[in-house]
Amino acid sequence: MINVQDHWDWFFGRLTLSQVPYDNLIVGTAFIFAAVLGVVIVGSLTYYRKWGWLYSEWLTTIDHKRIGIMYGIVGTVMLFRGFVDAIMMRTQQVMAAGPLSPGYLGAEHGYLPPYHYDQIYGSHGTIMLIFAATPILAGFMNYLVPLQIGARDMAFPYLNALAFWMTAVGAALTMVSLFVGDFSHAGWVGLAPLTELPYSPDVGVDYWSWALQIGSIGTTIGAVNIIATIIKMRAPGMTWMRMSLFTWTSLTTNVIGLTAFPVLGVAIGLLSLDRYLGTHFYTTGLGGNFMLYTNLFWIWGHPEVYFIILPSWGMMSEIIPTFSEKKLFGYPVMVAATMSIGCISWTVWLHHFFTMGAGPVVNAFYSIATMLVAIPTGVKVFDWALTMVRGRLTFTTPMLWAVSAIFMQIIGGWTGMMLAIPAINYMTHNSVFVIAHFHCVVMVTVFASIGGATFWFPKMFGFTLDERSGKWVFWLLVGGSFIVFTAMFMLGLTGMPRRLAYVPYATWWPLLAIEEVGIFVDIAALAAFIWQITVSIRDRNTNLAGRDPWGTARSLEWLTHSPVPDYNFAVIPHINARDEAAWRREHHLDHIMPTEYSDIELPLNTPVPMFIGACTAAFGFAMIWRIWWLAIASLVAIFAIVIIRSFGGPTGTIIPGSEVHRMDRLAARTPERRPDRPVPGAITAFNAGAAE
Amino acid sequence: MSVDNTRPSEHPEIAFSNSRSYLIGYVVTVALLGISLLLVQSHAMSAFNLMASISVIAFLTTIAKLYFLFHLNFSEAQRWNTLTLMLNVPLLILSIGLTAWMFQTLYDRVMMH
Amino acid sequence: MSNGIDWGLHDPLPGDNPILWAEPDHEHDVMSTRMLGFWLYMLSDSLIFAALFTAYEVLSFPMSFAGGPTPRDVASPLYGYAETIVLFSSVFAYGMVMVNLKAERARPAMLWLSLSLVIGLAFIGMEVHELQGIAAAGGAPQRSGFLSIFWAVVVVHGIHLAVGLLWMVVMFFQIARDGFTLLVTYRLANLKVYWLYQGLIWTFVYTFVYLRGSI
Repeated sequence: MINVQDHWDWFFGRLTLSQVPYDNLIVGTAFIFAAVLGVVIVGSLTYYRKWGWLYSEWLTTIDHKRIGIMYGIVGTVMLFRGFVDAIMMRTQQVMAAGPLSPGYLGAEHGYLPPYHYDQIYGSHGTIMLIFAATPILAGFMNYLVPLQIGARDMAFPYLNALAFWMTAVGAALTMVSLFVGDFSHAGWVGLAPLTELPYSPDVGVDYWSWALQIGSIGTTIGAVNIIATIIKMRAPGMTWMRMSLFTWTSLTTNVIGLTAFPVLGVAIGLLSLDRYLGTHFYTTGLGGNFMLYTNLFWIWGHPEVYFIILPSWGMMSEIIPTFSEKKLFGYPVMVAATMSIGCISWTVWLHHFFTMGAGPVVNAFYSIATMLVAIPTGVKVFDWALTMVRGRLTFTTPMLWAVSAIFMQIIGGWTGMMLAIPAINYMTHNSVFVIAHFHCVVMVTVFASIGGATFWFPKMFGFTLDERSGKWVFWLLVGGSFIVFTAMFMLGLTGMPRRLAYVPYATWWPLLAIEEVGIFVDIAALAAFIWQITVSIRDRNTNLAGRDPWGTARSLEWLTHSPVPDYNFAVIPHINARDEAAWRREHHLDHIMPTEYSDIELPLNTPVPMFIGACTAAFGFAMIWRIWWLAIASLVAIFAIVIIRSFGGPTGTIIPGSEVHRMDRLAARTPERRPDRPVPGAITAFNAGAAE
Repeated sequence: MSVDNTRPSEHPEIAFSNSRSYLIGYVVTVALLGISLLLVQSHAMSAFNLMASISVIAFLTTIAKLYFLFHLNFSEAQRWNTLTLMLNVPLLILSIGLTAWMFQTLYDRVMMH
Repeated sequence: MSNGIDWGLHDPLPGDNPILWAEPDHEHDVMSTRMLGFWLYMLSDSLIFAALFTAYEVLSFPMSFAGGPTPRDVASPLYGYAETIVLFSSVFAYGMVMVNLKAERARPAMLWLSLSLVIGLAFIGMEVHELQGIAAAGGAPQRSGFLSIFWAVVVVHGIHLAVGLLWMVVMFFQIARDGFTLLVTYRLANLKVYWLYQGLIWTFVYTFVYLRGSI
C-alpha cells in the first residue's frame, strides 16, 4: 500500500473535516440548493405518505418499464448538473479573456480559480457522457425493447434492477464529490501521468475512477440483458427482419457496450493499482508507459461514443417514419449500416491521438478506417430523407426534434471527417474545434432523446405533453446550440485550445461572448422545459392518451395500452409484418381483442438490488477515502448477499387469466370514458383522472 | 420457442456431456502444450519461428478445447453461444494486434534506443 | 417463409384468418436463455484479459524492465507446465461433474465437484508459492512496469479462479439441498463454462507469458 502525503487514520481513512469545502461560496450555494431540494422531496414524500409507495413500487421493482423510467430520472437530474457545469465554464471563459480581465472570489481572472475550473470540466464530461446520456438511453432501451419485440420483460429482470442501481451509485458518488473532497482535475479522459499520485495527490481522481468503474459494471450487466432478450425472447412471428430499427440499434449498441466497457475497467483499474499499490503501469519512471493509458482508454472511448449515438439514430428511425406516414426507406440497408457501424467503430480509436507520434502508415490506416464510417452514416441520413420524400409530413414536436437531429448529424459528421485527416488533426487537436465537433454529435443524441421522450411520453404515462410549450423548448434549444457551436468552430480554427481557465487573448472575447449568449438561450430553453412539464402535468386529465395518441404510430409497442400495464401484453401478439401496429391499422385489425386469456406469471419485487447498491456505494466511498475496514466489510457483504439470495430460488406471482381478461377490457376503454379504477400495476402518473 | 417442460438433465446443453470427449480433450490439450514446452526448452528453431509455432499450438489447443470440452457447434442449442465466442476473435486481433503495430512505430519514433 | 431469408421487403396480406395472438402455452426456454446470458458475460470477461494482454504487449518492451527482472527471470516454463497440468486436471474433474449431472447421480457429482475444488486450490497454492518466490527475489510488482503487468495478468486470472472455487462451494451445498432442479442444473452448466474458460485463458497466459518469455 502506498502511504499518502496527507492525513490518514485507520477508521476514517483520508476523510477529515477539512475535506468539506465550507468556505467555497460556489459549492456552498450548490449545497444550499441541493439541501432545499432534498427537504422538499423528503417533505413531500412524508406529507403525502408516499414512502411505502416509493419502496414497493419503485425502489424494489424489477419491471423493465419502471427501471427504464428510473434510469431516465437519474439521467435527467445529472443532465441538469452537467448543464450547470457548462454554464459555469462558459461564464468563466467569457469573464477571463485577456490579461486585463478582472478576478473575483479569489480567482486571478474570472471567478473560478484554475483548480476549481479543472474539476468542473472534468465533472461536466464525466457526468454528461456516463451519468446523463448513458442512463437516459439505457432508460429508453429498457423501456422499449421488450415492448418492441413482444416480450413480457427482459431476460434477466433481477439483473436489470442491479444494473440500474450500479449506475445510480456511480452517479451518487459523483454528486458526493461536490460536497466531500474534490473531483478529478484531470478531465473526463484522465490522461496519465497527470492522474498518477504525484500529480493528483488528493481524492479527486479516485472519485472519478470509482464512479466510472461502478457505472461500467452496470452498463455491462445491462448489455448482457438486452442482447439475451433480443436473441431469445422475441414474440412468435417476430423474425429478425421484422424487428423495429430501434431494437436493431439497441442490439448493436449493447454488443459494443458488452465488449468495450471491460477495457475501460482495465484501463482505470491499472491506474488505480498505480495509485493504491505503487505499481508502474503508467508512471513516468521504472518502466511505466503512459501512452498505454491513452491507448487502452480510447480502445473503450471510441466504441463508447457509438454506444451513445446508435440508440439516438434508432429513435430517429422510429419517429421519422411515424410522422411521414410511410415505412422506413431501405430497411435492410439501414440494418446493415447499423451493424457495420458497430463493427467499424472498434477499429478507429487511434484517431483520438494522431498526434501521440505513431508513424504515418499507422495514422493513415486509422484515418481511412475513420472515414469509412461516414459511408454507412451517410446511408442513414439519406434513408431518413428518402423516408420523408412523398410522405405525409406532420411536424409535431417529436418530428421537429428528429429532423433537427439530422442537421446536427450532418454538421457533426462533416467536421468529424475533417478531424479524421491527420494533417488537419495536427492543427486542430486539443482545440475547441474538436469540442464543437463532438458537441454537435452529442446534440444529435440530445435532440433525438428529447424527441423520443416527447414521442413515447404518452405511452409511458397515459397523457400527452403540451405541444405549444414543447415547440418553445425546441426553438430555444436548437437556436442556442447553433449559436454556441458555430462560434466555437470559429474559435477552434483561430487556434483556441480546450480546457482553458484563463483565455490569454482578448481578441477571442467577441466569439466567447456570442457563446455566452447562446448558453443563455439554452437556459431559456430549460425554463421553457420546466414550464412544459408543469403545464402538461396540470392538464393531464384533459390530455389522456389512448393506445395510439399520435394516430400514425407504426411499431409493436403502440399496440399496448397507455400507460402500459405491468404485464405489457395481455396476450402475446403474433407478429405478421414489420411495423405491426401500422399493418394492423391498415388492414383494420387493430381493434380486435384476444378471445382467450391465460394466466400470467410475473416476477416479484425484491429489495436485494437496492441493498447491493447500498453496499457498493459504501465500497466505492471506502476505496476513495482509503477506509480499508469499510471496503472489506462492504465487499464481504456484497458476496454474502449474492450467495444467500442464490439459495432463495425464483419467486413470482401468477395473475389468473380471468383477471387479465378483466384488466384488458378495462384498459381498452377509450380515454374519454375514463376507467373508474386505474389499470392495476400501470404507471399512472399521479393517477391521471382516476378515482382511488 | 417450444414449451419447456423437459427434465433439466435432458436439455441439449447438458446432454452433450460425455466422459470420452472430456478425456480426449484433457489428453490432447496437455500434450499440445507439452510440445510447446519442448520446442521452447530445446531452442529448436529461430526466435521468430518459435513464436509462430507456439502461437499456432495455442490456437490449436483452443480449438481442441472448444470442440471436446465446450461442445461448441452450430446446432440450434449452441449456435448463439458459438457466435458469442467467435466474436472474441476479431476483437482480440484488433485490440492486441493493432496495439502491437502502433507501439512498434511509436517506440521507434519517440523512445530512446 | 417460402425459401431463403425473409428480408421483409413486402408486408403480407392478412388473408381470411389472420393470426393475431400467440398460442397460450408458448413459453421461453429458460436454460438456453440463462446460458446465452452467461456466454455473453464471458465475452466481456475475455475482453478484460484482452486488455491485460494488450498492456502486457506494450509493457514487455525492454524499457519496461527498468533494469530489473526480465520475463525469463520470473516465468519458468517448466513450473508453468506443472501448473497447466494441475489446472487442466481440475477442468477434467469438473467435466465428470457434468457427466454425473446428465445421469442424475448426485453423490458422484458432489464427489467430483470436491475433487475439482481441491485440485483448483492446489493450483492457486502453486501460484501463490511461485509469486512469493518472485517477490522475495526482488520481483515485486512495484519494481518495474513489466513486473506490474506480469503480476496483474497472473493475479487477475487467479482471482477469477478463486471466485470460481467459491462458486463450487456454493453449488456443493445447493446440490445437497435441492438436487438437480432447473436452477441448480443451469448454474452448474454456467460454472462449467466459467471454469473451462479459465483453462482457455490459462492456455494464452502460459503460451504468451511463460513460454514467450523464455524464447
